[in-house]
Amino acid sequence: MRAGVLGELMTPEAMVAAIVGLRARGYRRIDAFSPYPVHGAEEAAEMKRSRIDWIVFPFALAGAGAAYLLQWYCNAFDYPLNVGGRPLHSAPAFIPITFEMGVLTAAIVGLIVYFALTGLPELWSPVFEVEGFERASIDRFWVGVDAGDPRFDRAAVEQALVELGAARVAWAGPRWAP
Amino acid sequence: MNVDRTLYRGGDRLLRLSIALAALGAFGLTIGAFVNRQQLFYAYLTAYAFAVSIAGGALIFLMIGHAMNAGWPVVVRRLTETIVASLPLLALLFVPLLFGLHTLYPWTRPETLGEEGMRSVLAKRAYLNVPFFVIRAAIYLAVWVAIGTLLRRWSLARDADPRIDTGARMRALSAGALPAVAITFSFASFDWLMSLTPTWFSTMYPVYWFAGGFVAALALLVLLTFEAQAGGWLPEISLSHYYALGRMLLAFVIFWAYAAYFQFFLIWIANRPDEVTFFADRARGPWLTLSVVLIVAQFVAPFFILLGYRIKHRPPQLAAVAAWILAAHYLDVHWLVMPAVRPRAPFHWLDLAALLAVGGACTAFSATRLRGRPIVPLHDPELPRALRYESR
Repeated sequence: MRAGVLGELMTPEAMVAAIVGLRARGYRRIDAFSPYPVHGAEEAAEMKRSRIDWIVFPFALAGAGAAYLLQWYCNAFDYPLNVGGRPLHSAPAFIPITFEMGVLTAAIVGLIVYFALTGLPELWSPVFEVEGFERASIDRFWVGVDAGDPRFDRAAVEQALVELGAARVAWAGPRWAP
Repeated sequence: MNVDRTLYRGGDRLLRLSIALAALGAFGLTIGAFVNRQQLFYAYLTAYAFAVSIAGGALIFLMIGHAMNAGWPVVVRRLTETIVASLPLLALLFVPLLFGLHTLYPWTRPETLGEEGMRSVLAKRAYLNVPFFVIRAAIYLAVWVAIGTLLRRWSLARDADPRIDTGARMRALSAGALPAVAITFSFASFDWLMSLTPTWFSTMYPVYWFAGGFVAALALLVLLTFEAQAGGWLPEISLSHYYALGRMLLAFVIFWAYAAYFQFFLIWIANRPDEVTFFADRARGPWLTLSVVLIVAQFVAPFFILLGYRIKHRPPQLAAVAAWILAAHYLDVHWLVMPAVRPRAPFHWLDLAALLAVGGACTAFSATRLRGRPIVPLHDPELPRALRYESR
């Protein structure tokens, strides 16, 4: 979250209830911070499944294909070498490396895409400036609405969070924002 | 949970259908006994190996579940036990094979194998002889039937009376007997299938046989789960359970491909005359086509289909893939048995008759043994948690 309104809740149940309440009020870009994974929070926020698998899959195929092509190029085309009388283009012998390169490409691309999609590693975030936010990693549960939400209105969100039981409401982000 | 609602009383149609098909198959086999005894026994062995590999795979899955105190498999445990429940019948169905040993296994008549083959087989005579073969088969089947029967009986005893806590017993038996089952299952593949070509050997063979049987057992389990739920039983099964089953299916499709590929690869690259015969037989004429079909049917197609996330959350489609894998496993067993005897024409009408007879009989027998029983292990203390199992 680059900018938005945050509310502090005391219990995980209140956090899930606040997420449900915010969604019921029409907000869609909701974020939550808790010391541990809270059961039901993802469902309450109706988070969509990441599309990372579909991004990685073509890269895995390309990696495998490139590995096969390289072996063919080296062994059968550029420098034909007779190994024990086997055919120069020996598909069965190329399969282990083809498979391993497919897996390796998928893993590396998966890692890179994961960092790109999540914006990690994030050494500093505006939410860290909010007073008391450090307790999100101890015993408090924070729920926020991103300023990019189509229905975002700072006063309305603050009002909603208070109604949903937030003990404290704070603005995170640049001072000049709405 | 409502006890009455979980008692399985369905399956009338399945029972009638499977008995009718088994009778039809038995009729075909009877005709075959007069027409072509050689094809009859090979067809019967294929069908038998197909059925017994699935029952054995289910037994291993059941035992692993107990040994690991596995969570979600508790909801499908009774269905797994139902597949395992066919083992006593399969032990009985082994008897007809005893009348065909001389037809099936060349090591019973080494004089027909040529000088080199005869020398190789005579050297293995201490192991490959009819009395010892029969004793070993009896041991394998006795071990499987005993373990399967005990696990099922204890599981049902707790359903009848929750005060009888058989959980620790089932776990101890499963953990203790898994090595015995692994060894007997491996040697069964040596005896019943690998010795069809007694001059050839592969140490990867039992792994390949286990991989095929295990993935087929999982596929049958998916089908049974889906059918039971479609029939109104097992309403508590959720998409998370299908997701878990689908992941297992994918994992063991890959495991089968791994075993199959490395068995082939090591033999291919070493290229030793006494080892390559197995694959040379399967790379000639119509068998080359069937080998390619097998690779696509048992690995390539199910792998890419099951790789997706959504398919594992769509029970009808997952069940269709499971049925496909089951058919591919039959082709796999056929591919193991037949090339030695049918170099030109891979299929014979007796194959279908044998499959109907053995498959129909096992289905009817298992279905009968499930009727009137709870369709889930009712009083397993883990059941409520297994039903709540969630995985996204």
